[in-house]
Amino acid sequence: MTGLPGHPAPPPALPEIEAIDALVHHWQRGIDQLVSADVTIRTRGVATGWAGPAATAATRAGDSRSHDLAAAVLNGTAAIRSLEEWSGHLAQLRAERDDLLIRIDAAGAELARLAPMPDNTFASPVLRTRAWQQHRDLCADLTSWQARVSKAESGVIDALAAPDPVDALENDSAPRHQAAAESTRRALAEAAAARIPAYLLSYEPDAFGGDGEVVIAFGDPVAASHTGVVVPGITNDAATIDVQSLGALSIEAAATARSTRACTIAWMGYDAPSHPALHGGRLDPRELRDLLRTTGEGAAEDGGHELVDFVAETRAANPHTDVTVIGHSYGSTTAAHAAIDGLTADRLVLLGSPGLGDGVDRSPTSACRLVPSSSARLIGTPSPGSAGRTASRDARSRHTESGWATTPRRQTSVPAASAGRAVRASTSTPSISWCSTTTPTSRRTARSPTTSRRWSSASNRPPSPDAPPRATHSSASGLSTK
Amino acid sequence: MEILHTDPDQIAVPFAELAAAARAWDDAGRQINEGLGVTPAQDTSCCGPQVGPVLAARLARWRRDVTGINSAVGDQADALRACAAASAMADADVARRFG
Repeated sequence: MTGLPGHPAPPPALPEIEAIDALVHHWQRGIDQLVSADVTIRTRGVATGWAGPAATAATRAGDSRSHDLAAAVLNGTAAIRSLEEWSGHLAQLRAERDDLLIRIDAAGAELARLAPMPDNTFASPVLRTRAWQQHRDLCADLTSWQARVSKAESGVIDALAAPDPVDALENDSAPRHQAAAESTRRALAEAAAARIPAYLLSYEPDAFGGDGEVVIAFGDPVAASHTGVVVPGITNDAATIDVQSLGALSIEAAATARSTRACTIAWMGYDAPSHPALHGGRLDPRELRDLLRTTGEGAAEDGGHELVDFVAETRAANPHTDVTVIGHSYGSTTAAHAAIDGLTADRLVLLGSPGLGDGVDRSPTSACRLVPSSSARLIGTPSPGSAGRTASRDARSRHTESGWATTPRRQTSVPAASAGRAVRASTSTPSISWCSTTTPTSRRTARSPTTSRRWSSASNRPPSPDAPPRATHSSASGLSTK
Repeated sequence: MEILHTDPDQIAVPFAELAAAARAWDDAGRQINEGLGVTPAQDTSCCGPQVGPVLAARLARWRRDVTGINSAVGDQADALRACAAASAMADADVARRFG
């Protein structure tokens, strides 16, 4: 093989990463100001020290504007995260491009050096052939690189152009989404009936092979000083978000009663294993396959990654909040996996845990050390006669004996009643509470393989049934149910 | 604004509280304005011909939403001030009637 290869076409110019980062920086500063405004309204703008119809109206108006601000913050944060992710990809792609171009130049130079060498030696043809091959491979890598640039670009375009979850829910009439859509609407209606503002952070009924992703925040996730994230276990998916929301609403109601700016999030953001269900009179083989995942930790590991990302994004939208992650059943295994994956929670509560998983229990690098505590009382009180009652007494007696929890915790009426032995990390972060529970009954529908999802955000607060009619507000972001 | 429809006769609140609440809403309005100020409708050409227009549309949508919120916040502050004034006048009237 003789001659010299032509120089490959120069790769297309990449967007200006520094300019994108600057834009993100400015937008983030703007969002920070909205967060401050939201907190100002929440703390000083609502009626305090006076009562009557004016106070009620002012409080309602304050709630509404605060809700709008939180929605704008969440929407902006979602867009910023997409841009940041894209910028990260671009930086990596730029480095790879520079490296490729250097290597292509070097391969071309090597070919030029070998070109005048006579073929009358054994080595010359071999070396030339190898150099040609290397040059071809590098040019192919450059083509592949361009395809990855296009893919990253498509990703950010999709993310920026995606409808808000509220729009997706309101416009969703697909029969295959019926269960998820109805369950989500029920959850939002429950919140409206309880006069607790609800924010639909994510509605992705096609996620996880059709099991769906739904994330609802009860309480303002932007202004909250305390945030709880409830991680469900097996038999849950988007079609059971209403059942999951009952527990989150109970916690939120209890926190609100203490005048705490709290937010409790029902997080169906991972592919929890399912159980066999009959679909149309036949056993769905996907369900059986999914059930088998319960015996392993694959779903918990995948879900742990999702949970780490979600909590990080929650913190990005509200950097000063205190975060408690509450894992129930298999969700506790998921939360535990998240803990060793870099979960940025201040507290981790594990209920009815089947185990933290081998990688967690035995990891010498785990940040979570388990020691006894009764912090689990925060979560709930077992119903009379429940199997967990005795165990709960045990937990309380331990509390009395140890005297570790100096501040009495309000007990709530979470359906998944807590009981059993309780443990807590000493001073490490996150701290852990662990107690056994009864398993809540929940409905189920189809479920299948894992799909990685990211948090998209929007919000929704359906009108309270007894609230006065409100002017319909249709914004481009789709926050239209006010 | 809902509070605008509240009959002033029904308001029986300390006007100082109303005035304080109005100031809080003014502060919130200023913060939102600052937020809009540091997030101008920027040139998104840095993002390239494909992403740039999509981002510009998204940014414009966000700014439109926030501008609408800010307008509502301003209305709320005005409403609270009006109620505070009505309350103060009622207070003065009561004081006058009782000598």
